[in-house]
Amino acid sequence: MDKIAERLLEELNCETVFTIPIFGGIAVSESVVVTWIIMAVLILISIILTRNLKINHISKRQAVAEFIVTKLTGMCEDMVGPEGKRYTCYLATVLIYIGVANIIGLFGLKSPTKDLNVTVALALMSIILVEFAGIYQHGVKKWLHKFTEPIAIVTPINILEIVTKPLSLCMRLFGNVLGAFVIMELLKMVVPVFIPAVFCLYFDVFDGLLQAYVFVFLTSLYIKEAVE
Amino acid sequence: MLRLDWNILFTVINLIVLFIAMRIFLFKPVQKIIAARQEEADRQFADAAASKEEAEQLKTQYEESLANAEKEKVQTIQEARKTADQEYHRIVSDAEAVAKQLKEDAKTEAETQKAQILKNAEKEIASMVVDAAEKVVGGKSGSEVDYALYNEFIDKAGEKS
Repeated sequence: MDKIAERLLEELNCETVFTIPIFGGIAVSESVVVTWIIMAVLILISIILTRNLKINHISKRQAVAEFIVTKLTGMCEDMVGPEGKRYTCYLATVLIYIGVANIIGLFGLKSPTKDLNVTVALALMSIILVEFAGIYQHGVKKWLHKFTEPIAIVTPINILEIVTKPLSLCMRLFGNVLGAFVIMELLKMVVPVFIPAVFCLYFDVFDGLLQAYVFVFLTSLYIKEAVE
Repeated sequence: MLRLDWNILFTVINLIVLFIAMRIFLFKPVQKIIAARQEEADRQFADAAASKEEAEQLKTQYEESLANAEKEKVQTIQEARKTADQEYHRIVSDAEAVAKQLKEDAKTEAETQKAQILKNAEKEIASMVVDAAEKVVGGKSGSEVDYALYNEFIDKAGEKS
């Protein structure tokens, strides 16, 4: 039993890949390096897909690119509403990133979302974007006034929401990915043949994409709320 | 797994870079091309609408000119009829005038001839009278002569007529 726990911890632990030798050494963790890989792959695919775009007689490559972009931005636009249309690009990017990050375990790399640093960063970005959207849409005065709505007594709760919203976002994503990973590892130890393949479809592929969708959905919901 | 450190900052930077890169390399170009296509489609629709309108205008123009032609035709026919009528009347009246002239001429002629004949007759009568007078004067005198002359004349005239 101890052995299993040890192995699990080892799998879960995000190793430091290298250390930047300033400020007494900044440890760059595996999640950041994997993120770089994901970024490189995504950017490369984007460049390949959007090379030589035409208006008429489009190639299959362009059709794929247009399909991906219209579907993703359309989905994000539906969620965030017409007022928050300018945030769809960011939301679509986050959707792609979390989706890829969650299923990259299939390619033998460690999911960046299994590192709390990444989910915290994502949640921070989300809450900053949400509050920025509120200020941008209404101005500082109205944005501040919104904390006292609908009645003044809920003001502390509204202020607390600035913390709870990103916290729930970050913990939900982290917990889901971690839980799925732990269950998969246990399953692999108990039944090494066939059964993990079936559950892998659910936990690694479906749940990974679902969590990406949930994260983006909630973020866009908060933005929608903020710009209304 | 649960430590929080500088990697948050790295991830934030990564996300921003990824966002900007995706925007530059994926979203912007594709959205631009889709917008361009939309514009082209809009333009084509506008062109089609303009062409249709133009055709419609031409059609009405043609219809109008056709109607005008019809009207003109009717008018021309009417005018021609009127002219023909006038001409007819003119010819008829001319003919009537000519006929009248002829008739008058003939009448004058006839009268002249009649006068001529009368004149001739008078002349003849006069000569007859002279003849008769010569014959009568040869034998009688006085009232006898007058009487004889008269009778003679009457006889001659009766014979003559």
